[in-house]
Amino acid sequence: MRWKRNHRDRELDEEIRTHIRMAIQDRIRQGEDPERARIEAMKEFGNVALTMEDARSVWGGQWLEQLAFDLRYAARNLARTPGFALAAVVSVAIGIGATTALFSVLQHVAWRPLPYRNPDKLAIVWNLDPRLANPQSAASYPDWQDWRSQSKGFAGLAAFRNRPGFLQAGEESPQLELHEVSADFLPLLGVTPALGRFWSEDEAALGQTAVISDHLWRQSFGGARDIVGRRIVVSQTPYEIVGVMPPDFRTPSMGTQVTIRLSPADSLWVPFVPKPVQVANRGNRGLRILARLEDRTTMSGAQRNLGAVAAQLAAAYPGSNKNITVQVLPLMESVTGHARPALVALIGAAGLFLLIACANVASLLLARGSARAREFATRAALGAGRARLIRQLLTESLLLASIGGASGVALAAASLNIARQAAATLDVPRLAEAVLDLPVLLVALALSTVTGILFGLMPALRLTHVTDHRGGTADPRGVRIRQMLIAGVTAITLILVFSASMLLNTFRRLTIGQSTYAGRTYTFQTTINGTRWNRPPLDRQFCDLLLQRLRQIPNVEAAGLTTNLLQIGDNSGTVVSVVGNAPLPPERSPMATYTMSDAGFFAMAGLQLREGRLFETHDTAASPAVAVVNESFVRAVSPDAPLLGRQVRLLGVTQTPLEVVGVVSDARQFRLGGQERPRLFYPYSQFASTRVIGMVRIAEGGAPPLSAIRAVLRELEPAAPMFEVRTVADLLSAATSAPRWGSVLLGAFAGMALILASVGVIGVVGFVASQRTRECGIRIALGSTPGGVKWLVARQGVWPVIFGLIAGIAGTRAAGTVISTYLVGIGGGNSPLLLADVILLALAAAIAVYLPARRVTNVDPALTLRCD
Amino acid sequence: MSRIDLLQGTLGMLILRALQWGPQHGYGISQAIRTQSSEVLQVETGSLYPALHRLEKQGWVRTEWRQTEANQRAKYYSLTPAGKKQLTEEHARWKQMVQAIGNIMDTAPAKEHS
Repeated sequence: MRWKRNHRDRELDEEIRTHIRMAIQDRIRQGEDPERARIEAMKEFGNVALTMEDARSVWGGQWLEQLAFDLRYAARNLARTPGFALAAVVSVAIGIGATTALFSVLQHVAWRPLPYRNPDKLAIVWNLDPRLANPQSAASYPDWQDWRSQSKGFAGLAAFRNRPGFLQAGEESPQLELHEVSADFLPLLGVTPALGRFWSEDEAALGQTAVISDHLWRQSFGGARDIVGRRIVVSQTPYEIVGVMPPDFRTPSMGTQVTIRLSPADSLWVPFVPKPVQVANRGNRGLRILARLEDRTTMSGAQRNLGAVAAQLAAAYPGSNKNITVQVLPLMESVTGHARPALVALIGAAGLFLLIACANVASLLLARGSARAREFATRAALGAGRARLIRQLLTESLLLASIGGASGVALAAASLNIARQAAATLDVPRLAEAVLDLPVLLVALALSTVTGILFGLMPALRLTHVTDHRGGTADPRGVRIRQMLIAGVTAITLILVFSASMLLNTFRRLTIGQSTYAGRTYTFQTTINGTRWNRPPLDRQFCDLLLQRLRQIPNVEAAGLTTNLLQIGDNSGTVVSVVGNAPLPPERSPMATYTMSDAGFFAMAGLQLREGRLFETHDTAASPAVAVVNESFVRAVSPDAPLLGRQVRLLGVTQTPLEVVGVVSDARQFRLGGQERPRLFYPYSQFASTRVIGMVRIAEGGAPPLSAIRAVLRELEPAAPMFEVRTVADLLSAATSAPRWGSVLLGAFAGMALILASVGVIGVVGFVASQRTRECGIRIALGSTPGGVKWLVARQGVWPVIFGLIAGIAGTRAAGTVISTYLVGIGGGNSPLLLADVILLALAAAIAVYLPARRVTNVDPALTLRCD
Repeated sequence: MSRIDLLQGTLGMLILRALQWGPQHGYGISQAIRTQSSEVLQVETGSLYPALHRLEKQGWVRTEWRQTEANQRAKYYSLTPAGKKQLTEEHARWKQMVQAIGNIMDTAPAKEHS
């Protein structure tokens, strides 16, 4: 093909030569002077190159050739100005990378349908309780039964609830999520088991069958084919496995509070068997309800129908259901609803970045294009059509866009990698599934093409416009718009950088000082449920023995027992009253969390004794019940009078009042915005819990004590499991996941904004510099100093940056207020931080201004004057 | 002698017509059109060669390198059977069009007087 084209080119060349030769000979024959004949013949023939190109284009395939040529030319051009190419490519890469990565996240988290049959017809049914801050609340067993029997238009209404459990399998006690679900729950989703079957209604009543997840099957049972029929014990309850779900199957499950999330990889579904107290009590609301609508029922229709049922229930049972309505919320919305607004905002920000990147590159192209104005004029004079020139310029910008887009995809892949890491500890549904798949890549490709045309077309049109070839002054309008853009981006950058540094700073303060012990403090859980220890006073003895033996493990510095790892654990509480004080109305009664512990726990948790004493050996079941409280407790329960020595009562927890014998400091909070609750500690030596968390701190450099702890437990009670084994550092890292990833995200955005702003400044100052090179030459020739001339150009970038910084400082005040309201304990002291950020930005801007501005004095003034 | 630019789309027909009397090279074709139109029609070389190549691509002419009378190597174009057919068709269409245009242009504007 190529050979053929070359051959045709040679022929065409020869053909045209012959033509001209004949024309000359004719003219000579008519008596013209040979030299004159040659000139006239050439003149008559016209543009040889253009004729050849036109003739060649008849044969087609030429656009490809031109494209190859244009690409080679564009590549050479870019290689000649590597600084420009780098700035442009980085801008595009940021724009495309951020947009692509977030598009992938949004697509996988919020848009991709859930993997169930007909997922649009699945919904979560909530009770709406107007008394609650977040009115969504769970359903009670009687409510659920009435909904089932009285509603119309539903193919099913299934109940589910879940809690962490552990599998008892030899020495290991793998943690899993135990889902108690009604018999129709799994079939409702429309996914059949990969192995075995679901359990039947009859089996459900016994509550002894289980369906397990694929991951659990492979991890804990080695993927054994004979798994069906095997008997297992989960959280001390025996089950028979009847089915294994296919890989990646997840069900809706309850997350924290009222969120619905997808079930963890290690899950086990067992029949929900209502307890008598649940059946009898309509106010006992602990069930989540999954509904499947009949095909012809709409969400609003289902809402109306169930709403009517709820109204009847509210009328019939005012004691428990007064004012309670229902909400039928599509499952997709229930699962992803809380993540969606943030994601949409983020992708909006990324789109903004992409636009700014386009403006940046257009600006850079213009700046460079002005320098090439003579090249275009020459080429136009040589017969290049405007369309041809525009195509060539567009090829250049598309090449830039492709390189930028490819780098952007690489950037997106890297960010998604980080996002998937974050997914391990962040509560964002399906984030772990966010990958660069075909649709996402197609979007990246489309974005690159569109941006290439977007930022290439305007400069191409302007640069090839003939009247622009006279070296005029900079178009003030275009520069003005870009300057406003720079001011805006600078302001946004400052706000982002400031917010990120504030978060980072707070985060550092949260975790500082923890590092010394956190890495070598191990926690584990065990329970005496189902063992012979599960009754007083044996339960207290169990704790005594456990603690004693843990302390005997070699290398152990300290050991403690608790039921709650303070900052990280469950913080449900109850109403507190002080014996002897007038009773307060319920809504004004203080609430407090209660935690079992031993005396050693306080030091391990970093709580200092402020007043009174800790637990002592004489605090036994026979002596008066005692309690240690924290400072928050004192503030909440008895802000005015001393609490030490007073007796307090915990509603619904203990009958006996507890005497406050000590006050300890509040626990440091690891969660951003976390605030320590009023907390009461009681000694295990007086009331032992069946579920215990052990803490063991080993000496520096000591080996992890896990096998020793396991040995201690086994010796004490072979049936006692050991689960949730973690270091405090791990727990901290999980608990601080949100602020950590938040600051990573903000930091990344801030970094990208900083680069975009800098490139923007380079572009505008560079454009002005290229437009005013001659003017500057003249000024220098007339006696201006190089510095003065540089400033003339530089101030085009300096002013917008200064305005941007001022606007940004105002903006950071607002951002600071917003962040502070979410993060208690941040408070002031951010001015030095802000100053540092402003200096950082100013430095970046100074470099961005200096790079192009220095060019204007590099020209020889004599040369500029002589030009044209 | 004023020269007239060629009517759009007629160059191909003129070239085919010029080739009816035998193979000819590009220069010869342009000279033939010029002389046969009594110097009225001037073929731009910028259009001639693209047009020739277009005709070749469509299979209406074929090419061959041979010696001229002046003993020069030149690329000669000659009509193919398809080219002959094309010429007849285009000629007929042309006559039809000339007639139609003539009808319009030469009719007395009677309406204005009535």
